[in-house]
Amino acid sequence: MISFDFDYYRAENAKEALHKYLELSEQNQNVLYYNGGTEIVTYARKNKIKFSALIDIQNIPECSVLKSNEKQIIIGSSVPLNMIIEKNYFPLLSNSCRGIADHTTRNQITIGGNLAGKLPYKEAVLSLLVANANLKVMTQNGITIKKITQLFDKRLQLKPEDILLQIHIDKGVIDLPYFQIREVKQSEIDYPIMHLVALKQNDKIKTSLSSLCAFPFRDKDLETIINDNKLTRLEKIDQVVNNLPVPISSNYRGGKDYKEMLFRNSLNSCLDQLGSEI
Amino acid sequence: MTKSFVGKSIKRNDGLDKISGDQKYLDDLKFGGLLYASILSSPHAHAEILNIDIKEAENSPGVKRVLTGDYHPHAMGLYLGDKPPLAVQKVRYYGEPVAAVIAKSKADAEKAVQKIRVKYKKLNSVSSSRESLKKEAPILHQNLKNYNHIPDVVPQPNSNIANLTKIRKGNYQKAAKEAKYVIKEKFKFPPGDHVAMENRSAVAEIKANGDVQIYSTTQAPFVVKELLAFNFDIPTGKINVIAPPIGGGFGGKAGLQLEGLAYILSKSVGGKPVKIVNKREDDMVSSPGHIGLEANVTITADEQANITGMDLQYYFDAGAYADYAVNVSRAAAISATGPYRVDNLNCDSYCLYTNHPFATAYRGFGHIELAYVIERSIDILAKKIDIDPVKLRLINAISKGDTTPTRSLMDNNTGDLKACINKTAELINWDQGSVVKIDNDKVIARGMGLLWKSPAMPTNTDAGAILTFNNDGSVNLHNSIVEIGQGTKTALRQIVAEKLQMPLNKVHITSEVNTKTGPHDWATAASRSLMMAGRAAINASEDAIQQLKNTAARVLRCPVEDLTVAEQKVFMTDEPNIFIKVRDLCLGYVYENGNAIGGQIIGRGNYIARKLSSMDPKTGEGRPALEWTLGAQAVKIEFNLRNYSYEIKKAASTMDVGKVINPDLARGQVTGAMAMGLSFARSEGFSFNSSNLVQNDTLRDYKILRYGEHPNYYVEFIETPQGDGPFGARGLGEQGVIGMPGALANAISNAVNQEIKELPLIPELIYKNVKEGHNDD
Repeated sequence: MISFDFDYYRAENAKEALHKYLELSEQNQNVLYYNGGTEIVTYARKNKIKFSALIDIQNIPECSVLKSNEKQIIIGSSVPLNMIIEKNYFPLLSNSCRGIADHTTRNQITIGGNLAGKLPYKEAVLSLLVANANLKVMTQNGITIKKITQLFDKRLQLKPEDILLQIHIDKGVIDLPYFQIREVKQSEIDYPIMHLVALKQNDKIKTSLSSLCAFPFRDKDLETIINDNKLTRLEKIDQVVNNLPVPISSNYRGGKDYKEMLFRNSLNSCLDQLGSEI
Repeated sequence: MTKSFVGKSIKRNDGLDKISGDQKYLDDLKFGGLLYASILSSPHAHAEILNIDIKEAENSPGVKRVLTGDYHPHAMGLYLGDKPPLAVQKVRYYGEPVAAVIAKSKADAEKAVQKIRVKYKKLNSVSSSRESLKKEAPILHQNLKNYNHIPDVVPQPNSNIANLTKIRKGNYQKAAKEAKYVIKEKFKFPPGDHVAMENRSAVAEIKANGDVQIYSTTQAPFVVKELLAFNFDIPTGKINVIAPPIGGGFGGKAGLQLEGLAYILSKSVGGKPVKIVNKREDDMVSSPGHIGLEANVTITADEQANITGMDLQYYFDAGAYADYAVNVSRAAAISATGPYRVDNLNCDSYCLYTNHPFATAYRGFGHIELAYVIERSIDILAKKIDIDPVKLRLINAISKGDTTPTRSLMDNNTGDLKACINKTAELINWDQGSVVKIDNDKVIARGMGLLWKSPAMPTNTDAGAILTFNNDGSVNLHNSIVEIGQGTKTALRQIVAEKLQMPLNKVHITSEVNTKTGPHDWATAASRSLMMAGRAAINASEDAIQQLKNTAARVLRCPVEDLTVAEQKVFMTDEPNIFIKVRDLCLGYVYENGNAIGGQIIGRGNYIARKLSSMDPKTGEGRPALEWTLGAQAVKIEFNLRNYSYEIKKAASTMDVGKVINPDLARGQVTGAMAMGLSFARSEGFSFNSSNLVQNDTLRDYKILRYGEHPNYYVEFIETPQGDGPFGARGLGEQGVIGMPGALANAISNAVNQEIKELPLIPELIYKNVKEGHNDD
């Protein structure tokens, strides 16, 4: 059970939510936005997070949109992962979300929560990074739309009061060739120890990675190596491994050596499939 | 014509409640005026408690009392009394209960427990059983020499040895000298959890007249009653322990669990009822789990591949408290060799203190542990000799006329292990090869593991049965077997129906155990319930039959010996049309004029283990084993050489269970055990950081086999009757886990052509072994 008391607010629109956040913060309240709640509930039960107020954003109309028009796919931040997977507007996104938690929990986990939560894996971000998606965000200065590549650095770089409303994906990317592989310690229902996503656009491979290192990333320098056709396959893989932005992390789920082996194999399969060299 | 109820797949009587979710477990029961407890547990593996500040917690809303270890600073336990209900002066493992809050609501208790401030001074911790034996290791129990223990346990004060059981049989030194083949190996695996569906809980209340009432998720209500009486100086008869059906025990709910703590909690608030319910995390680390093991194994064999000797050192990791674990290490000594004929044996089985969560009974009770190291060693020996491992097992399988490690004779009741091996080899298609390449990335591999088990229980272990009648002639079997999911109660009904020749729907059985109204029973553990309570039920049925005949003989005016009881009637055997209905006899027979005779029939039955004896402390010689169940198990896996992952495709098991009382229930029980054994080997076990804190104390991280990860299961039985078992049956409850870890590890070792000597068998471990193996080459 959650043993501490807190206030619960439900916002009907983005402005109201943001104003409530600012108002409560001024009263020195410890406020969190509440979406699917899977992280908040599990951490609060163990007293690993504290808050005095929650603002539920699931009733904000923009946040529950899930549609595809001529130009783009629009996904509200409160849409559960299972709905995204079932609609399957963007197969790469579906596939990279399918490994998150289990089916029952994916009914509850929202894409916004996956991107903005505390857990470091953020697997939904991988396909959005390679697809160069746009994020629609409510800020104190009104609504802004920015490239995810500008907003994401280790985690979403938003101000505490900002609200991620929607994700916009250009429809030009949805049928491009892609590669996706998720490795786990053992059980499929587990956090990944390496998740690699790649998309091939205009003969260039774009890649993003989660869980291999301490945080998810897309790295232009690595893509330069991968797309450098003067290099042999083995040189590419060696150089990528040697030029990771941060070292491969070791933890209870997987040690550095094992993860590196999996990554090398995965990158090799990726290059097999998307064929960057002659 | 007699009707047969034994040997049929009767549906279990508790099945409907369970599948519909209507089964009420302890936490579902309502109690008036209940108070709730919440526990603060240790964040350290080993530390001195410098100070506990409870003021703020005491002033928290709804709080009735805050307790720390000094309220009852006395160690208690079953086999070795070494653990106080709340830590005293020191904490010895991560998760050890340090303080308790009693409050009006669960939320009040939880809130207040956060307000307790404890100052610790961290101490060096002992991180493995081998390390616990080193000179520089801290002694975890300075007071070991003063702890109460049973005579069969040999603690060594001023060391971390809670028990050492020695077996000396034949002349191992001579065997080693003359051996043609010798293998010498080391193995290890960590302690872990049972992961029973239902977390442990207890409710204690002390009534105004001093009567103590305990509700508990216990497998051993009589043990709880007797230990509370002993430790708190309460007359035994004043204590009543009630055990409702529980959601899985697997050994983890035997012995003393939360009951002692619940009792002092209630006592501290004037006897009001207090409930304590483990959260999942507490159930995993604060309450005991399964034991860990490190082992040295040396096996010698002659030219013809006969095993000539074994030299075994078992170092069990009991964790911080060894109360129940001391008997696990003893059980492992009794069965040390696995089901092999070994005439020359040295075995030292140590139960050792470490700063890990402590261990208690776990399904298999020392046997799943020893079987892993023995079955792996047998495969390694087979490679050394260059013989098929199944053939090696057939050559050395124990059989009638051989002796056990404690030198007791495998008598006429010995099961047919060779038939089990052959059947299992056939089920797994052993003839298709132990490793077969499918493509560049994948191989199919097979592995086998044998099992044997005997209960390692007190020599006077007993069971009882009482049969009472209803006015429709139906019977109630009062028994003290706890329903833990095993289905024994259904089998007991079958036994009574068979003896009384009465339809099954006329045989009712009590579902909860009440130590005031039920007959005495040692514990629902050691796979002895069907055998012992079954014998008691037969005994009670015969007693009831005799009484029915006695009254009927008076009414029918014929000799008692001319009567038969069947079809709810007592009739003259040679003239069956002369009869009286049981319903007209069972509560006394009433003549037409109103005179009544006979009174109600109460069948009484009991059973006590026969001819068991203690072991010689120097050589282990003795007869500690009630009966032996033998079997062979195997798995088939598909192994991915790219990422070292694997799928378990098929698991097979053949056991000689004497007589199958209920085939569906028996298969269910064995299948469940096989799944548990696979899960144990594949992914379970605690992972510790460098400070000995458990890193996977949640089900998010402690992985058990999931629904989609199960193989196809194949279960067969051989029936060599157990002369003293009910209808020839012997125990089968735990046994299915025992051979699985060895079988799985053997299959994986075959797949990668490297000897895996650890558990759990996660891909990264296999990868490391292969990598290191190649480096050695």
